[in-house]
Amino acid sequence: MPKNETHVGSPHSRVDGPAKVTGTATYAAEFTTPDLAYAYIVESTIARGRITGIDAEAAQAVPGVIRVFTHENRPRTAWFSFKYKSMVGPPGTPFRPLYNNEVQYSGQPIVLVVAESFDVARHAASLVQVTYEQHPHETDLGRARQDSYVPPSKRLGIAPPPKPRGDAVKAFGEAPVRVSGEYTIATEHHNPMVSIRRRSPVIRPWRWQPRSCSRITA
Amino acid sequence: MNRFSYHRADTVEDTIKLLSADPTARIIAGGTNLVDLMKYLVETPSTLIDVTRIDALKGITETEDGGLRIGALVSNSAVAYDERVQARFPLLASAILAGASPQLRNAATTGGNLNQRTRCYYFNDPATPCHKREPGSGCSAIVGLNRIHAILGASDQCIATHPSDMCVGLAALAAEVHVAGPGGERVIPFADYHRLPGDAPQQDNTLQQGEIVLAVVLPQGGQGYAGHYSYLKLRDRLSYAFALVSVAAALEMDGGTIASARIALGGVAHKPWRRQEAEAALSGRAAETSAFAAAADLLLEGAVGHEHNGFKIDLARRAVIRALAQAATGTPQSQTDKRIA
Ligand SMILES: Cc1cc2nc3c(=O)[nH]c(=O)nc-3n(C[C@H](O)[C@H](O)[C@H](O)COP(=O)(O)OP(=O)(O)OC[C@H]3O[C@@H](n4cnc5c(N)ncnc54)[C@H](O)[C@@H]3O)c2cc1C
Ligand code: SF4
Repeated sequence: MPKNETHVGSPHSRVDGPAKVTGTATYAAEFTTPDLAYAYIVESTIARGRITGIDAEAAQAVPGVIRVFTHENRPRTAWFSFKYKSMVGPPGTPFRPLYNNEVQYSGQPIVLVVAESFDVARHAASLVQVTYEQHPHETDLGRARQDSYVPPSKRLGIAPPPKPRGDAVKAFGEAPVRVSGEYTIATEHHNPMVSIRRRSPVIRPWRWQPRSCSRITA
Repeated sequence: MNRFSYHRADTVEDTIKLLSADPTARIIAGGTNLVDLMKYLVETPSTLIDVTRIDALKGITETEDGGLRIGALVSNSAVAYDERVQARFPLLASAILAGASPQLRNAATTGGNLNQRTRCYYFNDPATPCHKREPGSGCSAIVGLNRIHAILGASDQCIATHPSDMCVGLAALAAEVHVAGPGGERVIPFADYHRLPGDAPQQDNTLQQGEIVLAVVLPQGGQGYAGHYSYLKLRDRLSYAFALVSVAAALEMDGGTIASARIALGGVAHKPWRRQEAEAALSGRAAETSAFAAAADLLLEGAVGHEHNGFKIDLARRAVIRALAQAATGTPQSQTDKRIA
């Protein structure tokens, strides 16, 4: 038996396991540096449409709030779509945060509240009022399946699947016994154990530099 | 998070006084549900009344007629691992161990578990209409995603379910809820504690303004079911997920014949679902699949599915049959090896 097969099916301790379960490990978001600012994201509450107004006055007035960013007042950011492309992303135009007033999905980041502490940022974010012009949407993947998008090319650098062999449809049609059913699997989220804290990309004051902020759903 | 004040109550009377004076005050026990809801701005209490120092709410004690009284502050773990509970009411221990995680069960209390709110996605998201959170605003689930929602006893106002596992066990064991309020103490049969949504979905249960749960009492009669029980919980993931459907089944056997039966369903209604007719139909019958299926059909009579949860009706039917079979043979569903036996 090759040596590493003994590891399959037997429990192993993580090197950093005890630190994590006893709370002594320092998570990425727990490191502090001088003058650190914290941000909280306000998400869209509609699935599709346009933002017609953002009233951030009350949020901006909360003591400790540094600035409230929206698509209207954000600093200049990269213009070209390719600047936002990830190496393994599918083809198409990547999402550009705070780019314009268009809402493409429910929960889209539309306002970023930057404050001196996380709690102030979160509280101020709850005071931001947004109005929308709502457009029709379809969020049920099952219902939208017949209209699904077929990308013209797959991801770069990934070999296409091998050509099919035989004739599966015909073989199935001629099979003496057929079992047919539709199976769906539950949603799976990719939840990194140590992530930049949810909804709080760490930014340095006055430099627009959110680190990658994956949306993590518990 | 909204600003709130914090008060540590020393006595039950103290708590009742504070609760009666301010309808937006909330009791906090383990905090595993309430604090999350406060972070989502679903609950915005003016005052938190910390009851965790009140001795009268602690401990598991024997009752005069041979039952057990579980104080509202006893943790879910302490109930599940109590020797008396394990020996006399193993169905309750099993139901608790099917829920949440060890850390949560250590913090979660009996009173908090009874009063936990629904996991309906829309209830937990203040950006969406929800009659339960904001009466009169609408129900997003009826027209939206409703895979986890009710198939029994729902109304056109709300189709939410009560998420507890513990309460399904308590319902099957016909527990009592002891509460105290400005008008004194009263006892609520478990079946009447939680309510159906009707046209007041904002009310999960029959606890009145100013009242606090003191304890849950397991009557001696439930002990007859200790030999033949099973808690079967079906969910999208084998661990750390709420029930799509769960069944608490308990039988009193007389040889191969069922003397009496108790069945409660979780994950299917605004309260643990029991039906006298279904239980009565099993009395005197041989413990076999046809009898279990007949009981399941009675229990599920009138079930209606919505766009995404129609599968629950058949799932519940099969789960009832399986759980009754496990109970009859004395081989309850294990909560550690979660494969279905
Ligand atoms: C990630 C996660 C997974 C979970 N999975 C499951 C599961 O699979 N199955 C399951 O059954 N549960 C599950 N739970 C829910 C858990 O069981 C409840 O959160 C817990 O039981 C609540 O108890 P608590 O003491 O923390 O209540 P708290 O959060 O302190 O309070 C909850 C509510 O009860 C009220 N309350 C508390 N005590 C009293 C009292 N004595 N009288 C009147 N009102 C009172 C509070 O005012 C509040 O409204 C899960 C929770 C989480 C966070
Ligand atoms: S099912 Fe009930 S809790 Fe859920 S959105 Fe409708 S009213 Fe609210």
